[in-house]
Amino acid sequence: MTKSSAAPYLELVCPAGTPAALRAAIDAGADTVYCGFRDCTNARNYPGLNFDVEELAEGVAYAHERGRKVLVAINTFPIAGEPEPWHRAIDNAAAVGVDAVILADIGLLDYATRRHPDLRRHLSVQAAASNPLSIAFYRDTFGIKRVVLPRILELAEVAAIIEQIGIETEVFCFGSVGTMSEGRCFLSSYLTGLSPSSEGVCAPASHVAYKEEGDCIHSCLGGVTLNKFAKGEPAAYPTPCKGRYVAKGKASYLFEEPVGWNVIDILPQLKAAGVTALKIEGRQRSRAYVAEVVGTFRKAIDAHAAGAAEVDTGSLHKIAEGGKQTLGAYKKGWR
Amino acid sequence: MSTQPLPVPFARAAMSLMPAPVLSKAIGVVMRRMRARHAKLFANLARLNPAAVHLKPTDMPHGFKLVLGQEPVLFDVINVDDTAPPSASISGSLQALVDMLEGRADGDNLFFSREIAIAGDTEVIVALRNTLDREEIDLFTEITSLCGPFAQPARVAISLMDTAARRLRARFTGRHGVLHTEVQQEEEKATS
Repeated sequence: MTKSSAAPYLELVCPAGTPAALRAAIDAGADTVYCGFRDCTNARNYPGLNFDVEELAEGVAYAHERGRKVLVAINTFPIAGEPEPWHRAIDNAAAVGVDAVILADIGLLDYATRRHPDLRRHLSVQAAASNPLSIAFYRDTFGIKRVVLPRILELAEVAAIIEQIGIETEVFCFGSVGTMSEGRCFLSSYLTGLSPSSEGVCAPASHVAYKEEGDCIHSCLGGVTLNKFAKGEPAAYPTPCKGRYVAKGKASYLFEEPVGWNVIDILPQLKAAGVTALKIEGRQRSRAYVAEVVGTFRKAIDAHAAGAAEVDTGSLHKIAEGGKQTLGAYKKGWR
Repeated sequence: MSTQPLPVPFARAAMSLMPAPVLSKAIGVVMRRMRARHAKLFANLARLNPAAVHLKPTDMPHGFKLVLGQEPVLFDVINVDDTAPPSASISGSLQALVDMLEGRADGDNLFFSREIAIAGDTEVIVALRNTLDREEIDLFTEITSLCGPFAQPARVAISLMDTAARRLRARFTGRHGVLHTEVQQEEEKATS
Protein backbone atom coordinates (compact mmCIF):
# COMPACT_ATOMS: atom_id res chain seq x y z
CA MET A 1 0.00 0.00 0.00
CA THR A 2 1.29 3.45 -0.91
CA LYS A 3 1.27 5.68 2.16
CA SER A 4 2.44 9.23 2.60
CA SER A 5 5.80 8.78 0.93
CA ALA A 6 7.69 11.78 -0.48
CA ALA A 7 5.86 11.76 -3.80
CA PRO A 8 2.88 9.43 -3.97
CA TYR A 9 1.41 8.61 -7.40
CA LEU A 10 -1.61 10.67 -6.35
CA GLU A 11 -2.15 11.73 -2.73
CA LEU A 12 -5.51 10.48 -1.44
CA VAL A 13 -7.26 13.13 0.67
CA CYS A 14 -10.26 11.73 2.53
CA PRO A 15 -13.19 13.15 4.51
CA ALA A 16 -13.85 12.64 8.21
CA GLY A 17 -17.00 13.97 9.84
CA THR A 18 -16.30 12.17 13.11
CA PRO A 19 -13.29 10.72 14.96
CA ALA A 20 -14.54 7.24 14.03
CA ALA A 21 -14.60 8.23 10.35
CA LEU A 22 -11.05 9.61 10.67
CA ARG A 23 -9.82 6.26 11.98
CA ALA A 24 -11.80 4.44 9.27
CA ALA A 25 -10.22 6.63 6.57
CA ILE A 26 -6.68 6.10 7.89
CA ASP A 27 -7.23 2.35 8.29
CA ALA A 28 -8.62 2.12 4.73
CA GLY A 29 -5.51 3.77 3.28
CA ALA A 30 -5.97 7.54 3.26
CA ASP A 31 -2.74 9.49 2.86
CA THR A 32 -4.41 12.55 4.32
CA VAL A 33 -7.68 13.23 6.15
CA TYR A 34 -9.54 16.53 6.26
CA CYS A 35 -12.07 17.52 8.90
CA GLY A 36 -13.65 20.55 10.58
CA PHE A 37 -14.66 21.96 13.96
CA ARG A 38 -18.17 21.59 15.40
CA ASP A 39 -19.34 25.07 14.44
CA CYS A 40 -20.02 27.45 11.57
CA THR A 41 -16.35 27.70 10.59
CA ASN A 42 -16.59 24.85 8.11
CA ALA A 43 -18.83 24.08 5.17
CA ARG A 44 -20.32 20.88 6.65
CA ASN A 45 -21.92 22.31 9.77
CA TYR A 46 -24.46 19.55 10.44
CA PRO A 47 -25.81 18.59 13.88
CA GLY A 48 -23.78 15.88 15.61
CA LEU A 49 -20.96 16.16 13.08
CA ASN A 50 -17.34 17.35 13.29
CA PHE A 51 -14.64 17.62 15.96
CA ASP A 52 -13.99 19.48 19.16
CA VAL A 53 -10.39 20.50 19.90
CA GLU A 54 -9.68 17.43 22.06
CA GLU A 55 -11.03 15.05 19.41
CA LEU A 56 -8.97 16.79 16.75
CA ALA A 57 -5.81 16.46 18.84
CA GLU A 58 -6.51 12.72 19.24
CA GLY A 59 -7.16 12.41 15.50
CA VAL A 60 -3.91 14.18 14.64
CA ALA A 61 -2.02 11.85 16.97
CA TYR A 62 -3.69 8.78 15.40
CA ALA A 63 -2.77 9.97 11.90
CA HIS A 64 0.78 11.06 12.68
CA GLU A 65 1.57 7.79 14.46
CA ARG A 66 0.79 6.11 11.14
CA GLY A 67 2.64 8.59 8.96
CA ARG A 68 -0.50 10.28 7.61
CA LYS A 69 -1.61 13.90 7.60
CA VAL A 70 -4.62 15.86 8.88
CA LEU A 71 -5.96 19.03 7.28
CA VAL A 72 -8.61 21.26 8.85
CA ALA A 73 -11.20 23.00 6.73
CA ILE A 74 -11.98 26.50 8.03
CA ASN A 75 -13.59 27.36 4.77
CA THR A 76 -16.67 29.46 5.45
CA PHE A 77 -16.69 33.25 5.39
CA PRO A 78 -16.76 35.19 8.71
CA ILE A 79 -19.82 37.22 9.49
CA ALA A 80 -19.01 40.95 9.37
CA GLY A 81 -17.68 42.14 12.72
CA GLU A 82 -17.61 38.64 14.22
CA PRO A 83 -14.39 36.94 13.09
CA GLU A 84 -13.57 35.44 16.53
CA PRO A 85 -14.90 31.89 15.94
CA TRP A 86 -12.83 31.68 12.74
CA HIS A 87 -9.69 33.11 14.34
CA ARG A 88 -10.09 30.71 17.26
CA ALA A 89 -10.45 27.79 14.84
CA ILE A 90 -7.17 28.71 13.10
CA ASP A 91 -5.38 29.11 16.45
CA ASN A 92 -6.73 25.76 17.70
CA ALA A 93 -5.78 23.97 14.49
CA ALA A 94 -2.23 25.33 14.78
CA ALA A 95 -2.05 24.42 18.48
CA VAL A 96 -2.89 20.73 17.92
CA GLY A 97 -0.34 20.42 15.12
CA VAL A 98 -2.45 19.89 12.00
CA ASP A 99 -0.53 19.63 8.74
CA ALA A 100 -2.42 22.43 6.99
CA VAL A 101 -5.52 24.59 7.17
CA ILE A 102 -7.91 24.89 4.22
CA LEU A 103 -9.09 28.49 3.95
CA ALA A 104 -11.22 30.52 1.55
CA ASP A 105 -11.66 33.99 3.04
CA ILE A 106 -9.02 36.64 2.29
CA GLY A 107 -9.18 38.02 5.83
CA LEU A 108 -8.62 34.58 7.35
CA LEU A 109 -5.77 33.87 4.96
CA ASP A 110 -4.20 37.13 6.09
CA TYR A 111 -4.75 36.25 9.78
CA ALA A 112 -3.21 32.79 9.36
CA THR A 113 -0.27 34.16 7.36
CA ARG A 114 0.57 36.74 10.02
CA ARG A 115 -0.21 34.73 13.19
CA HIS A 116 0.95 31.30 12.09
CA PRO A 117 3.47 31.80 9.28
CA ASP A 118 4.75 28.22 9.57
CA LEU A 119 1.26 26.69 9.31
CA ARG A 120 0.78 25.38 5.78
CA ARG A 121 -2.16 26.99 3.99
CA HIS A 122 -4.33 25.42 1.29
CA LEU A 123 -6.88 27.36 -0.73
CA SER A 124 -10.38 25.90 -0.37
CA VAL A 125 -12.63 25.27 -3.34
CA GLN A 126 -14.94 27.73 -1.56
CA ALA A 127 -12.60 30.52 -2.73
CA ALA A 128 -13.71 29.71 -6.31
CA ALA A 129 -10.23 30.35 -7.69
CA SER A 130 -10.56 28.87 -11.15
CA ASN A 131 -7.93 30.60 -13.28
CA PRO A 132 -4.14 31.14 -13.09
CA LEU A 133 -4.38 34.88 -12.27
CA SER A 134 -6.68 34.30 -9.33
CA ILE A 135 -4.63 31.41 -7.95
CA ALA A 136 -1.39 33.38 -8.41
CA PHE A 137 -2.84 36.18 -6.29
CA TYR A 138 -3.42 33.82 -3.36
CA ARG A 139 -0.01 32.15 -3.93
CA ASP A 140 1.91 35.43 -3.97
CA THR A 141 -0.06 37.24 -1.26
CA PHE A 142 -0.70 34.47 1.27
CA GLY A 143 1.86 31.83 0.35
CA ILE A 144 -0.67 29.09 -0.30
CA LYS A 145 0.96 25.78 -1.14
CA ARG A 146 -2.04 24.01 -2.67
CA VAL A 147 -5.27 24.98 -4.41
CA VAL A 148 -8.43 22.87 -4.47
CA LEU A 149 -9.85 23.31 -7.95
CA PRO A 150 -13.59 23.65 -8.56
CA ARG A 151 -15.60 20.93 -10.27
CA ILE A 152 -16.49 23.09 -13.26
CA LEU A 153 -13.19 22.76 -15.12
CA GLU A 154 -12.45 20.47 -18.04
CA LEU A 155 -9.36 18.25 -17.88
CA ALA A 156 -7.49 20.40 -20.43
CA GLU A 157 -8.23 23.49 -18.32
CA VAL A 158 -6.91 21.75 -15.21
CA ALA A 159 -3.70 20.87 -17.05
CA ALA A 160 -3.32 24.44 -18.36
CA ILE A 161 -3.77 25.92 -14.87
CA ILE A 162 -1.26 23.50 -13.33
CA GLU A 163 1.32 24.46 -15.96
CA GLN A 164 1.10 28.11 -14.96
CA ILE A 165 0.69 28.24 -11.18
CA GLY A 166 3.70 26.38 -9.79
CA ILE A 167 1.93 25.06 -6.67
CA GLU A 168 0.17 21.79 -5.80
CA THR A 169 -3.34 21.11 -7.01
CA GLU A 170 -6.07 18.98 -5.48
CA VAL A 171 -9.13 17.91 -7.49
CA PHE A 172 -12.30 16.20 -6.39
CA CYS A 173 -12.39 12.51 -7.24
CA PHE A 174 -15.65 11.32 -5.66
CA GLY A 175 -18.80 12.77 -4.08
CA SER A 176 -21.21 15.52 -4.90
CA VAL A 177 -21.22 17.34 -8.20
CA GLY A 178 -20.67 21.05 -7.59
CA THR A 179 -22.15 22.86 -10.52
CA MET A 180 -22.23 26.33 -9.05
CA SER A 181 -19.50 28.89 -8.37
CA GLU A 182 -18.55 27.45 -5.00
CA GLY A 183 -18.43 29.85 -2.08
CA ARG A 184 -20.51 32.31 -4.05
CA CYS A 185 -23.74 30.35 -4.45
CA PHE A 186 -26.65 31.69 -2.44
CA LEU A 187 -29.40 29.77 -4.24
CA SER A 188 -30.48 27.90 -1.09
CA SER A 189 -30.55 31.16 0.90
CA TYR A 190 -33.72 32.14 -0.95
CA LEU A 191 -35.41 29.04 0.52
CA THR A 192 -33.85 28.88 3.97
CA GLY A 193 -32.87 32.43 4.91
CA LEU A 194 -29.46 31.02 5.89
CA SER A 195 -26.12 31.55 4.19
CA PRO A 196 -24.30 28.41 3.02
CA SER A 197 -21.08 30.43 2.81
CA SER A 198 -21.19 31.80 6.37
CA GLU A 199 -23.28 29.22 8.23
CA GLY A 200 -21.81 26.23 6.55
CA VAL A 201 -24.69 24.25 5.07
CA CYS A 202 -26.34 24.39 1.65
CA ALA A 203 -29.35 22.27 2.64
CA PRO A 204 -29.55 22.64 6.45
CA ALA A 205 -31.24 19.65 8.07
CA SER A 206 -33.53 22.01 10.00
CA HIS A 207 -35.07 23.07 6.68
CA VAL A 208 -35.15 19.67 4.95
CA ALA A 209 -38.28 17.52 4.87
CA TYR A 210 -39.11 14.27 3.11
CA LYS A 211 -42.81 13.68 2.65
CA GLU A 212 -44.37 10.44 1.50
CA GLU A 213 -47.34 10.61 -0.85
CA GLY A 214 -48.42 7.12 -1.83
CA ASP A 215 -45.32 5.42 -3.19
CA CYS A 216 -43.64 8.75 -3.96
CA ILE A 217 -41.27 10.79 -1.83
CA HIS A 218 -41.27 14.56 -2.06
CA SER A 219 -38.00 16.19 -1.03
CA CYS A 220 -38.46 19.73 0.26
CA LEU A 221 -36.21 22.59 1.35
CA GLY A 222 -37.66 25.48 3.30
CA GLY A 223 -41.17 24.27 2.51
CA VAL A 224 -40.56 24.20 -1.24
CA THR A 225 -40.72 20.87 -3.08
CA LEU A 226 -37.52 20.43 -5.09
CA ASN A 227 -38.03 16.90 -6.31
CA LYS A 228 -40.46 13.98 -6.39
CA PHE A 229 -39.18 10.41 -6.59
CA ALA A 230 -41.43 7.66 -7.92
CA LYS A 231 -41.53 4.17 -6.44
CA GLY A 232 -38.16 2.46 -6.89
CA GLU A 233 -36.46 5.63 -8.16
CA PRO A 234 -33.27 6.46 -6.19
CA ALA A 235 -33.81 9.39 -3.83
CA ALA A 236 -31.46 12.36 -3.31
CA TYR A 237 -30.75 15.39 -1.15
CA PRO A 238 -32.96 18.45 -1.69
CA THR A 239 -30.37 20.86 -3.07
CA PRO A 240 -31.68 23.64 -5.33
CA CYS A 241 -29.09 23.09 -8.08
CA LYS A 242 -30.20 19.45 -8.36
CA GLY A 243 -33.93 20.01 -8.15
CA ARG A 244 -36.38 18.85 -10.81
CA TYR A 245 -38.27 21.83 -12.16
CA VAL A 246 -41.18 22.22 -14.55
CA ALA A 247 -40.30 24.36 -17.57
CA LYS A 248 -42.48 24.56 -20.67
CA GLY A 249 -44.74 21.96 -19.08
CA LYS A 250 -41.99 19.37 -18.67
CA ALA A 251 -40.31 18.35 -15.40
CA SER A 252 -36.55 17.98 -15.77
CA TYR A 253 -33.22 18.68 -14.14
CA LEU A 254 -32.45 22.17 -15.41
CA PHE A 255 -29.03 22.58 -13.75
CA GLU A 256 -27.76 19.14 -12.73
CA GLU A 257 -29.33 15.83 -11.79
CA PRO A 258 -28.65 14.00 -8.50
CA VAL A 259 -25.59 12.01 -9.47
CA GLY A 260 -22.25 11.16 -7.89
CA TRP A 261 -18.92 12.54 -9.11
CA ASN A 262 -16.45 9.71 -9.77
CA VAL A 263 -13.16 10.06 -11.67
CA ILE A 264 -11.75 6.62 -10.88
CA ASP A 265 -11.69 5.78 -14.60
CA ILE A 266 -9.34 8.66 -15.50
CA LEU A 267 -6.71 8.57 -12.76
CA PRO A 268 -3.78 8.25 -15.24
CA GLN A 269 -5.05 11.29 -17.17
CA LEU A 270 -5.23 13.32 -13.94
CA LYS A 271 -1.73 12.21 -13.03
CA ALA A 272 -0.51 13.17 -16.51
CA ALA A 273 -2.14 16.59 -16.14
CA GLY A 274 0.05 17.19 -13.09
CA VAL A 275 -2.57 16.85 -10.35
CA THR A 276 -1.02 16.34 -6.89
CA ALA A 277 -3.92 15.08 -4.82
CA LEU A 278 -7.40 13.57 -5.11
CA LYS A 279 -10.10 14.72 -2.72
CA ILE A 280 -13.04 12.54 -1.73
CA GLU A 281 -16.07 14.63 -0.78
CA GLY A 282 -18.47 13.59 1.97
CA ARG A 283 -17.73 14.63 5.54
CA GLN A 284 -21.48 14.42 6.07
CA ARG A 285 -21.50 10.74 5.13
CA SER A 286 -20.92 7.81 7.50
CA ARG A 287 -17.72 5.97 8.29
CA ALA A 288 -19.04 3.02 6.22
CA TYR A 289 -19.06 5.30 3.15
CA VAL A 290 -15.61 6.61 3.99
CA ALA A 291 -14.14 3.12 4.36
CA GLU A 292 -15.64 1.88 1.10
CA VAL A 293 -14.71 4.86 -1.07
CA VAL A 294 -11.22 5.26 0.41
CA GLY A 295 -10.51 1.54 0.11
CA THR A 296 -11.61 1.45 -3.53
CA PHE A 297 -9.52 4.49 -4.52
CA ARG A 298 -6.54 3.21 -2.50
CA LYS A 299 -6.51 -0.03 -4.50
CA ALA A 300 -6.91 1.77 -7.82
CA ILE A 301 -4.15 4.31 -7.10
CA ASP A 302 -1.77 1.59 -5.92
CA ALA A 303 -2.54 -0.50 -9.00
CA HIS A 304 -1.75 2.42 -11.32
CA ALA A 305 1.40 3.25 -9.32
CA ALA A 306 2.52 -0.36 -9.77
CA GLY A 307 1.85 -0.14 -13.51
CA ALA A 308 -0.98 -2.69 -13.50
CA ALA A 309 -2.54 -3.36 -16.89
CA GLU A 310 -6.01 -3.79 -15.45
CA VAL A 311 -7.35 -1.79 -12.52
CA ASP A 312 -10.41 -2.67 -10.47
CA THR A 313 -12.53 0.47 -10.33
CA GLY A 314 -15.09 -1.02 -7.93
CA SER A 315 -18.79 -0.31 -8.00
CA LEU A 316 -19.02 3.01 -6.22
CA HIS A 317 -22.08 4.12 -8.18
CA LYS A 318 -24.08 2.06 -5.69
CA ILE A 319 -23.29 4.52 -2.90
CA ALA A 320 -23.42 7.67 -5.02
CA GLU A 321 -26.24 10.17 -4.69
CA GLY A 322 -29.00 9.13 -7.05
CA GLY A 323 -27.32 5.74 -7.56
CA LYS A 324 -25.53 7.07 -10.66
CA GLN A 325 -22.10 8.50 -11.39
CA THR A 326 -20.58 11.03 -13.75
CA LEU A 327 -17.21 12.41 -14.83
CA GLY A 328 -18.86 15.82 -14.68
CA ALA A 329 -17.13 18.58 -16.62
CA TYR A 330 -14.28 16.17 -17.48
CA LYS A 331 -16.57 14.47 -19.94
CA LYS A 332 -19.76 16.29 -20.74
CA GLY A 333 -20.06 19.77 -22.13
CA TRP A 334 -22.38 22.47 -20.94
CA ARG A 335 -25.89 22.55 -22.29
CA MET B 1 -13.68 -8.37 21.39
CA SER B 2 -15.82 -9.90 18.63
CA THR B 3 -16.26 -8.05 15.36
CA GLN B 4 -18.83 -10.54 14.17
CA PRO B 5 -22.02 -8.90 12.90
CA LEU B 6 -25.18 -9.49 14.88
CA PRO B 7 -26.90 -12.57 13.37
CA VAL B 8 -29.98 -10.67 12.30
CA PRO B 9 -32.23 -13.59 11.20
CA PHE B 10 -31.76 -15.18 14.62
CA ALA B 11 -32.23 -11.87 16.45
CA ARG B 12 -35.35 -11.09 14.42
CA ALA B 13 -36.85 -14.54 15.09
CA ALA B 14 -36.05 -14.36 18.80
CA MET B 15 -37.40 -10.83 19.29
CA SER B 16 -40.50 -11.51 17.20
CA LEU B 17 -41.40 -14.44 19.42
CA MET B 18 -41.12 -12.40 22.61
CA PRO B 19 -44.15 -10.60 23.99
CA ALA B 20 -43.53 -6.84 24.25
CA PRO B 21 -43.11 -6.80 28.08
CA VAL B 22 -40.48 -9.57 27.94
CA LEU B 23 -38.62 -7.87 25.08
CA SER B 24 -38.77 -4.60 27.04
CA LYS B 25 -37.10 -6.26 30.04
CA ALA B 26 -34.39 -7.80 27.83
CA ILE B 27 -33.71 -4.42 26.22
CA GLY B 28 -33.43 -2.87 29.69
CA VAL B 29 -30.66 -5.33 30.60
CA VAL B 30 -28.73 -4.68 27.37
CA MET B 31 -29.16 -0.92 27.75
CA ARG B 32 -27.72 -0.96 31.28
CA ARG B 33 -24.61 -2.66 29.92
CA MET B 34 -24.34 -0.32 26.94
CA ARG B 35 -24.69 2.78 29.13
CA ALA B 36 -21.69 1.60 31.13
CA ARG B 37 -19.59 0.66 28.08
CA HIS B 38 -20.51 3.61 25.86
CA ALA B 39 -20.83 6.45 28.37
CA LYS B 40 -19.66 9.07 25.84
CA LEU B 41 -22.29 7.99 23.30
CA PHE B 42 -25.09 8.28 25.86
CA ALA B 43 -23.78 11.64 27.06
CA ASN B 44 -23.82 12.87 23.45
CA LEU B 45 -27.36 11.52 22.90
CA ALA B 46 -28.50 13.23 26.11
CA ARG B 47 -27.05 16.55 24.87
CA LEU B 48 -29.14 16.51 21.68
CA ASN B 49 -32.36 18.48 21.49
CA PRO B 50 -35.24 16.65 23.22
CA ALA B 51 -36.96 14.35 20.72
CA ALA B 52 -38.61 10.94 20.41
CA VAL B 53 -37.59 8.78 17.46
CA HIS B 54 -39.45 5.66 16.42
CA LEU B 55 -37.46 2.87 14.78
CA LYS B 56 -39.76 0.58 12.84
CA PRO B 57 -38.33 -2.67 11.48
CA THR B 58 -40.66 -3.55 8.61
CA ASP B 59 -40.04 -7.29 9.08
CA MET B 60 -40.88 -7.48 12.78
CA PRO B 61 -44.02 -7.17 14.87
CA HIS B 62 -42.34 -4.80 17.34
CA GLY B 63 -41.22 -1.20 16.92
CA PHE B 64 -38.81 0.70 19.16
CA LYS B 65 -38.69 4.19 20.62
CA LEU B 66 -35.61 6.22 21.43
CA VAL B 67 -36.04 9.29 23.60
CA LEU B 68 -33.14 11.74 23.24
CA GLY B 69 -32.11 14.96 24.95
CA GLN B 70 -32.74 13.69 28.45
CA GLU B 71 -30.90 11.82 31.16
CA PRO B 72 -31.14 8.88 30.98
CA VAL B 73 -31.68 8.39 27.25
CA LEU B 74 -34.49 5.88 26.85
CA PHE B 75 -34.69 2.97 24.42
CA ASP B 76 -37.66 0.61 24.64
CA VAL B 77 -40.38 -1.23 22.77
CA ILE B 78 -43.24 0.91 21.48
CA ASN B 79 -46.31 -0.07 23.50
CA VAL B 80 -50.02 0.67 23.27
CA ASP B 81 -49.67 3.71 25.53
CA ASP B 82 -47.29 5.44 23.08
CA THR B 83 -49.96 7.37 21.23
CA ALA B 84 -48.10 10.68 20.87
CA PRO B 85 -46.59 11.11 17.39
CA PRO B 86 -42.79 10.89 17.43
CA SER B 87 -40.53 13.77 16.39
CA ALA B 88 -39.20 11.52 13.63
CA SER B 89 -39.24 7.93 12.50
CA ILE B 90 -36.98 5.59 10.55
CA SER B 91 -38.34 2.43 8.95
CA GLY B 92 -36.61 -0.37 7.10
CA SER B 93 -35.60 -3.99 7.49
CA LEU B 94 -34.01 -4.96 10.79
CA GLN B 95 -30.85 -5.82 8.85
CA ALA B 96 -30.64 -2.29 7.40
CA LEU B 97 -31.24 -0.66 10.79
CA VAL B 98 -28.64 -2.86 12.53
CA ASP B 99 -26.08 -2.34 9.75
CA MET B 100 -26.52 1.42 10.12
CA LEU B 101 -26.19 1.27 13.91
CA GLU B 102 -23.03 -0.86 13.71
CA GLY B 103 -21.50 1.41 11.06
CA ARG B 104 -21.56 -1.29 8.38
CA ALA B 105 -23.90 0.63 6.06
CA ASP B 106 -24.17 4.27 5.11
CA GLY B 107 -27.48 5.80 6.16
CA ASP B 108 -27.60 8.20 3.22
CA ASN B 109 -27.05 5.33 0.81
CA LEU B 110 -29.82 3.27 2.45
CA PHE B 111 -32.07 6.29 2.00
CA PHE B 112 -31.03 6.92 -1.64
CA SER B 113 -31.73 3.26 -2.46
CA ARG B 114 -35.07 3.45 -0.62
CA GLU B 115 -34.05 0.65 1.77
CA ILE B 116 -34.97 2.91 4.65
CA ALA B 117 -37.61 5.61 4.81
CA ILE B 118 -37.57 8.60 7.11
CA ALA B 119 -40.37 10.86 8.26
CA GLY B 120 -40.73 13.85 10.56
CA ASP B 121 -38.01 16.21 11.73
CA THR B 122 -34.96 15.64 9.49
CA GLU B 123 -32.66 17.55 11.85
CA VAL B 124 -33.40 15.03 14.62
CA ILE B 125 -32.56 12.12 12.30
CA VAL B 126 -29.35 13.73 11.02
CA ALA B 127 -28.20 14.54 14.56
CA LEU B 128 -28.99 10.99 15.72
CA ARG B 129 -27.28 9.40 12.72
CA ASN B 130 -24.13 11.50 13.18
CA THR B 131 -24.01 10.91 16.94
CA LEU B 132 -24.35 7.13 16.54
CA ASP B 133 -21.73 7.08 13.79
CA ARG B 134 -19.16 8.57 16.19
CA GLU B 135 -19.26 5.39 18.26
CA GLU B 136 -18.02 1.94 17.29
CA ILE B 137 -20.79 -0.41 18.46
CA ASP B 138 -20.65 -4.20 18.27
CA LEU B 139 -24.14 -5.35 19.18
CA PHE B 140 -23.35 -9.07 19.10
CA THR B 141 -20.58 -8.61 21.67
CA GLU B 142 -22.73 -6.31 23.80
CA ILE B 143 -25.51 -8.88 23.98
CA THR B 144 -23.48 -12.05 24.35
CA SER B 145 -21.18 -10.47 26.95
CA LEU B 146 -24.15 -10.61 29.29
CA CYS B 147 -23.49 -14.36 29.51
CA GLY B 148 -20.25 -13.61 31.41
CA PRO B 149 -17.79 -16.52 31.15
CA PHE B 150 -20.14 -18.25 28.73
CA ALA B 151 -20.04 -15.40 26.21
CA GLN B 152 -17.89 -17.25 23.68
CA PRO B 153 -19.95 -20.49 23.76
CA ALA B 154 -23.08 -18.32 23.48
CA ARG B 155 -21.69 -16.64 20.34
CA VAL B 156 -20.93 -20.05 18.79
CA ALA B 157 -24.37 -21.42 19.69
CA ILE B 158 -26.20 -18.35 18.34
CA SER B 159 -24.15 -18.39 15.14
CA LEU B 160 -25.06 -22.07 14.60
CA MET B 161 -28.75 -21.34 15.22
CA ASP B 162 -28.53 -18.35 12.86
CA THR B 163 -27.02 -20.51 10.12
CA ALA B 164 -29.83 -23.02 10.60
CA ALA B 165 -32.43 -20.21 10.49
CA ARG B 166 -30.94 -18.85 7.25
CA ARG B 167 -30.94 -22.32 5.63
CA LEU B 168 -34.52 -22.93 6.71
CA ARG B 169 -35.58 -19.55 5.34
CA ALA B 170 -33.76 -20.18 2.03
CA ARG B 171 -35.37 -23.63 1.71
CA PHE B 172 -38.81 -22.21 2.52
CA THR B 173 -38.35 -19.38 0.02
CA GLY B 174 -37.22 -21.84 -2.65
CA ARG B 175 -40.18 -24.17 -2.10
CA HIS B 176 -42.55 -21.25 -2.04
CA GLY B 177 -41.15 -20.12 -5.40
CA VAL B 178 -41.58 -23.59 -6.93
CA LEU B 179 -45.15 -23.86 -5.64
CA HIS B 180 -45.92 -20.38 -6.92
CA THR B 181 -44.61 -21.26 -10.40
CA GLU B 182 -46.58 -24.52 -10.47
CA VAL B 183 -49.81 -22.77 -9.46
CA GLN B 184 -49.20 -20.10 -12.11
CA GLN B 185 -48.65 -22.77 -14.79
CA GLU B 186 -51.84 -24.57 -13.78
CA GLU B 187 -53.78 -21.31 -13.98
CA GLU B 188 -52.34 -20.53 -17.41
CA LYS B 189 -53.28 -24.01 -18.64
CA ALA B 190 -56.81 -23.56 -17.31
CA THR B 191 -57.30 -20.22 -19.06
CA SER B 192 -55.73 -21.29 -22.41
